[in-house]
Amino acid sequence: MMRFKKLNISFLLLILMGVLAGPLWAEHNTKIVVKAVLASQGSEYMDPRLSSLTEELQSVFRYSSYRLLSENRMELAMRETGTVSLPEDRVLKITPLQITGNRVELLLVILKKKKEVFQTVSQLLNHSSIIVGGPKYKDGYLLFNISASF
Amino acid sequence: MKMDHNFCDPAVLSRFLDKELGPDEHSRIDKHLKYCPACQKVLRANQCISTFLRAGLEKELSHADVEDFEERVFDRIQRKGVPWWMKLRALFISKKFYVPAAAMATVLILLFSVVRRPAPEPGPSAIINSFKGDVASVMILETRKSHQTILWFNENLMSGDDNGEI
Repeated sequence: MMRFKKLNISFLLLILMGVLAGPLWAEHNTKIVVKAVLASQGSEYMDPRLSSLTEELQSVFRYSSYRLLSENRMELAMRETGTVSLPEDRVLKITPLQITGNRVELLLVILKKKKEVFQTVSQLLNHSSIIVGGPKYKDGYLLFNISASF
Repeated sequence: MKMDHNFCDPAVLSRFLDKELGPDEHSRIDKHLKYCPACQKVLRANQCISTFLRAGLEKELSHADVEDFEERVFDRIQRKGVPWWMKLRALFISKKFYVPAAAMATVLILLFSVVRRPAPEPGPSAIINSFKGDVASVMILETRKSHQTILWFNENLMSGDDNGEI
């Protein structure tokens, strides 16, 4: 009876360890969120969905309006490419390349009318983001907030 | 008289019969019984009941096969067995389970908090390793508060539009 109990306890502890330690050897998928934002000098408007982002942007830019145009979420495996459609026939391609420490290396490619505008490789901190901006759109400029977590 | 009333109490007489009284009280009741027919009657009745019960109980016990009864009970328990959920419940409420389990969980949680969530690194949110493209200009900026990296590019290489206004 005592032997049976000891075996049971060992078995349950193994299950517990497996459940808790499982993520250690699980393959890392990278969760990506891409927010397309229109920044302009028009009437003052701060999109409530961008509250934390606009606070940061205001410390650098002098735009009075920040409007969220679209939000895309994806989960990508290493070397898997995700595509996001952006305004004016632009496309953003994202490919996680590798994880180094607390950063994920991302290949970002922006195309306009199927022609590559640029490509960059950047190492993004876990639970952090990079803002890519510059294209003129309507009465302002486009900003793409790309955040990653793994 | 008051004393006699106390002695005539059936509860006291019952305790007298069961030899539960102290030596002084026992001797007082003993003396009282010699002169009190009512108490003598109650005592005799009690003695009869006691004798009858004891004799009956001894007779029944002599017929009973206690060993056989015990054997049958154990046999029934063994055949029926303890249900699995009872064993599981007994295991979970046992200190032998939850103390090591809690200790193991604490160790693993601490391990994960160190391994999986390292302290936030100082520096920019993104490090630009390479940049290649047909753009007029490109700037790398950083926000003051949370060091968010901003990659600002002028898309129109040939048009000469003032596209890089910040």
